Amino acid sequence: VEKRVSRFSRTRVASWLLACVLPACDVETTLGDLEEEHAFRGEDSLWWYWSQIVRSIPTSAWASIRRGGLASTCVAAIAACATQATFELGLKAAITTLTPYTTAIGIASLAVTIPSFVLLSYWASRVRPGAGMLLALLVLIAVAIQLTVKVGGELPVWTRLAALLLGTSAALTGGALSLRRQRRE
Amino acid sequence: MPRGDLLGSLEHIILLALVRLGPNAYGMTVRREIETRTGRDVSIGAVYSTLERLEMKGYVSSMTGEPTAERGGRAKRLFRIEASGRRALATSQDSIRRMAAGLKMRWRNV
Repeated sequence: VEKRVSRFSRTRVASWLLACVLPACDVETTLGDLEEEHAFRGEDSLWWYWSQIVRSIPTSAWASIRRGGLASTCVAAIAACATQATFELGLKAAITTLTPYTTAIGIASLAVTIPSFVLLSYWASRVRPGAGMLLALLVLIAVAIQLTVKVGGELPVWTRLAALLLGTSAALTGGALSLRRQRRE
Repeated sequence: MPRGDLLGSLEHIILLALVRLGPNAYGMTVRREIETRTGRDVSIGAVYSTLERLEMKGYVSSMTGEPTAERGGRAKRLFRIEASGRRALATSQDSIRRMAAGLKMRWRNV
């Protein structure tokens, strides 16, 4: 029973991770291969199992981006990014005309902008399956640049770090939700 | 084979693995074959990405196999090398053979 439970939880986590970057049919095939090899190597091959999952994510993500056409996937991701940036700038301008910036305002604006980013990533991933991953990469690059060259110096560092973590997660969540929807369809 | 369609190193190795494995070629057997014969520890994701690229080029085809208990009831995706894949492999092998001809002593002395 213990073996079955550990296998069930292992495959559930692995399935969730792979579902962020692979179409449903490929997730099942890949998991089947890994389970077979895990059984072949013995129970102490868990490290090998997880290293395979982690190492497979970048190559599978890149394949997913290429599958949808590199140029059109880039266009979908950049369009989503531009829409989000416009929305955030508009929101920020509207807030600052009403009240000075406070921590509470920062948290409130994150509570609005993160769900909107999930939606935009979902939409972009519906248009092109790899767009969510590309969007996550764009967020990483944009926030890394902000942190390095200190653009928008009035914002506290925690806001940028939150944007880095939550923005990347939001982009990946949108992409994963889109893949799950495709799976059901 | 058009000039832009030269095989990459992993593509070349995977096509050779498909020839070796015959009807039993699927992700994990291909990965295991590469590891056993070359010592190269490729990820299953890299194997599938390369196989997908080769399928898009028309060099390999795939079909879904039967689900088995040892795979947790999941089906295999079996791959087969096509005639165009065999031609691409032969051309690539010939290119390497011609480029390497007469050089064995030189790189042994380096």
